[in-house]
Amino acid sequence: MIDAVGLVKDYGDVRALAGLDLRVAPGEIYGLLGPNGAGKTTTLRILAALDRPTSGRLMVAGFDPSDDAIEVKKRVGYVAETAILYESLTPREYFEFVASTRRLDRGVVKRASTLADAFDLGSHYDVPIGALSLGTKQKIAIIAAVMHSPPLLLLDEPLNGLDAKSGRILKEVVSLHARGGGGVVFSSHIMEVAEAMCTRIGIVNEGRVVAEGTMEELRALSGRRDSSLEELFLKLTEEEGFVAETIGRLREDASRGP
Amino acid sequence: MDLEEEWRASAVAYAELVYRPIIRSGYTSRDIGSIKAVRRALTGASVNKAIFALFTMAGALFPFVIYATGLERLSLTVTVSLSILLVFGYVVLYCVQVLPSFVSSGSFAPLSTMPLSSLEVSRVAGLTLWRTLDYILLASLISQIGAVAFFTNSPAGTLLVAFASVLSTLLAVGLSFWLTSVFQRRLEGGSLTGIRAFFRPLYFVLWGLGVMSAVFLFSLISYVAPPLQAALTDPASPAGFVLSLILPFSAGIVSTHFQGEPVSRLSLTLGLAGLVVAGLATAAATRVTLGVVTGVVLPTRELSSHAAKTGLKFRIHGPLFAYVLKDLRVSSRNPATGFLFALPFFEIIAVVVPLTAASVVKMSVVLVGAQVGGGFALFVAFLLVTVEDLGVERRTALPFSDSVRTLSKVVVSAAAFLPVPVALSLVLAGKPTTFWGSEAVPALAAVSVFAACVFEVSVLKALAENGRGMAMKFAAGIGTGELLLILPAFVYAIVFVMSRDHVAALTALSVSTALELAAACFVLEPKGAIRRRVGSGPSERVVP
Repeated sequence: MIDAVGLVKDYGDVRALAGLDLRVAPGEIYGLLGPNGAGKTTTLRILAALDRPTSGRLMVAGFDPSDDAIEVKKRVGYVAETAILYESLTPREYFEFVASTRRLDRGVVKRASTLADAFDLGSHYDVPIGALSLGTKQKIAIIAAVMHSPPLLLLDEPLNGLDAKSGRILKEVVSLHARGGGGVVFSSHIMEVAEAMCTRIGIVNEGRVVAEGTMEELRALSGRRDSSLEELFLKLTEEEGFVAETIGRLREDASRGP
Repeated sequence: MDLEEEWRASAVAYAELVYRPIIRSGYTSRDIGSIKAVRRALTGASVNKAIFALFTMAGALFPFVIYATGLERLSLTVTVSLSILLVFGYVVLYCVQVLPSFVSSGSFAPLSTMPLSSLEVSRVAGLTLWRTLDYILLASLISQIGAVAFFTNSPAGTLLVAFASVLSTLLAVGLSFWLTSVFQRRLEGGSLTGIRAFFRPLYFVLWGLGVMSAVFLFSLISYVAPPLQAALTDPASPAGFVLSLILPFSAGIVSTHFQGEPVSRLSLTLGLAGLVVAGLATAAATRVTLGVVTGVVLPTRELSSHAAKTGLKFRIHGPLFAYVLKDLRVSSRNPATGFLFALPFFEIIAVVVPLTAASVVKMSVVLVGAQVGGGFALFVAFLLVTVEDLGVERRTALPFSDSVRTLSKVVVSAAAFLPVPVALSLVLAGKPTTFWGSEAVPALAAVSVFAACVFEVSVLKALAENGRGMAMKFAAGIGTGELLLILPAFVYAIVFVMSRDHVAALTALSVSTALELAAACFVLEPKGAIRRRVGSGPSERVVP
């Protein structure tokens, strides 16, 4: 479903991706973890054909996003880190626009309605999106991304702003999608979520995947059989020492008082 | 916080106002995210302000140039009145472009979280507003005051015009500010109906007034001045009575009196009363402005009320129709583009008035009339591309092609032009013309406008991809469109001058228009792009 080899992305003098390799198979939920600025969002934007890599080889759902961006976009559902929506449209108008642009059949209305009910969106259909809360905007972005049942879901911090109930619904939507044979790439800062949901996890640091595998494989890689994902993450991104040192300093400052 | 600190803080807030839309637009230029990008944005904003200030100066001085050169027989009353009116229009035009980002919620959010009093934050916001409007306000005041001083040599008249100019400018800012905030609050407050919807037509009229100012400058002054002059010299007539009480005309009347020219006692009384009314209205407008500024700084967000739950039903359209519908919805709810729905009305006035005034319609008048309306269409296309919902299109993962984006903007712009050829045709059907073939011109003009908009939108998008500033986009985009718009008329003129044959000239015009259309179709669909990319069936699906 995704086959990326040696992806490099430069923004002027800044190298956002430095030879990233990534493979995702149908039915997989792949968790993309990494510190801030590691290149997760850039990776997802390139996979969604919103950005072109500076170099490297990439196939998404059987197409090269650089050559066939439209074909890739047809097969992808993308939720950005910050919901990208027309704020002056209402959710109903926005769903109408998305469904029409994707040339979906009438069946999508029922699917969108089911998803909207699941996310408890019922009282907001005719309110301008700009007037809605962050979490409600995120729900709209999620419904718009999955309403066409795409083969591949690319979710960049999809739990941003969602309440516990909606978070649970989203996890179920993602699981069902994967069980139906769809692929999912899921970036999150919430380690518990990644640990519970993802079939495979890739840890990105400084623009490349530094470790990859199932939880067991990552534990084996770090040499710690019972460690949590958070501990593995800090070790694999080489931030364990820095975090321990910083925490020590903060505690020392706090003990001295204001 | 003392004034100096507030002034420095306003520089930070102003930079935020200028830079925020660029970041939100999703453009990824080479230096985005660095301080260079902020500096570039500030320079671009200064260039934009300077260009608009030059336009305003031209608008303020134009009636005085006509007055001094005698190109039209204008009295001083009408000259001063038109100058103030034109500047009022330009200020409104500028304000409705820039104020939406000023009043949009979040512009001053970082400032409002600091431990400052509301008065201090309001003062910073006021200074930021000044930074936003400084060039245009200074340019309008200096040019008007300078012109009156130069042409009248009357200190009293100059002082009076200075006073009237300040009043008019404050009124323009206050009115635009209030209406912009009404639009913005409507979107952020969640209300799509209600009393605020009542003010939308007024907003559109204001927008139209700004656009009409540009038209006044080039073509309408000779049609507007004589009836205006007649009305103002007869204050006993209903039109003269009402006009004498309205600001730009009242100032014109009183300044003429100070110049020493004869003004009737009734006119002078009405003019002075008009200035008093304007003063009171300006005080109210200034209060409104301050109120909005405070509201911006300390927003009282109106969260949408929780309506009863309803079922989700929507219709599915073709991609292009859906896109056009979306463009219409977004633009009708955006303060900076909403005016295009009132545009056909103003276009018809601008195009038909000169035609109806002529006893026999010459071919040149028909060609120029079509050009004026075409210019409006190019302006609409420019706004649709540049003001669109903060670059959502550049960041969304929906599978529409560039051709659909371009075509949608072109369809909306060309549709805004369509009343012009219809009105032209109707006038031509009822008027004698110098050439029977002139009735073909409106339809050909519609084709040319379509082609010009295609090229304009394509140029604008290419420049946007490279992160070019607004001034560059305006000059290159509108310039390209105008070139294509003028080309057929130019070809007509050349062939006619060489052959003195209207039929040959019309044939040449038709051929050049057809070539423009062919080129536009090639730009739109170089390899059958639209059919292949959008019409190739629905998205592939998985069944969970």
